[in-house]
Amino acid sequence: MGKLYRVLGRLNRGKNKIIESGSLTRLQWLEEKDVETLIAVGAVAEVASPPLTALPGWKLRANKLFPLQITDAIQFLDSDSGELAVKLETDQRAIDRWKAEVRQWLLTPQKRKSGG
Amino acid sequence: MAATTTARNACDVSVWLDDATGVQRDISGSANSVDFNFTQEIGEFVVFGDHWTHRLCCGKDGNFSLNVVYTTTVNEGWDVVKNWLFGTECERRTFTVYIPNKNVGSDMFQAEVIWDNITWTTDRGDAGPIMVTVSLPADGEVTHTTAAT
Repeated sequence: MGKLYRVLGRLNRGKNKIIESGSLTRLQWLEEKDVETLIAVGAVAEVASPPLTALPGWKLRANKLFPLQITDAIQFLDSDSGELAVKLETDQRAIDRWKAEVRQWLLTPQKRKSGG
Repeated sequence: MAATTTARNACDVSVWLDDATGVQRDISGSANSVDFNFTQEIGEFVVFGDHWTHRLCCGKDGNFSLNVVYTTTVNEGWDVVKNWLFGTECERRTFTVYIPNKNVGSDMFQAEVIWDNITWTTDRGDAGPIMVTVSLPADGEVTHTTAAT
């Protein structure tokens, strides 16, 4: 899978498809030069992948994933949930829940609009 | 501080306006300027014991002024504006401007707009093209996004 990028300004994919600031995307519809342009104008930034052990409450799960050579968040998100479920002898839905949790850790909290 | 290397001019700005059917038309080839005017309501107050004015912000507003060339081709700027002028009353249309061009990474400003003033002058003594100025106040938010397609 491609690299993961954090959206720093609102992106417009055309036909009013907006990708909001703070969300994650792989920009898979763009060529590499276009991704470089978006980085250059400050619209996106590559997500630095934290080690799973650094995520709060993830030590046990990180230890389970370590033997499968999955050590950081993006490796985990890129992995096949079905295969992981078999290898870890667990439910695929559990793996998907873990992935959703990791994705949340990578998201930037949205700015609140200040009044007055 | 080092001088910027990313200054851009308006040569390749891309301007789009809905036609009567709601299809965005590229009118860049028959338009040559767009003025942007943004305002914000400010309320001021000074309190006892304080010599400095404080300010609160409230509503924002955006207005555009578009210059199109008077041409005779369908779906060019003047044709779109003319049909709007003589079409449905108080019709909102989507107005989009890409700066510096319509490529990935460009700034994209977009709003639903209404025309409130359309003017042009026909002058026998002027050999230049007739220019039509259209004032376009936004109806609601003016959005800014980065073009990613």
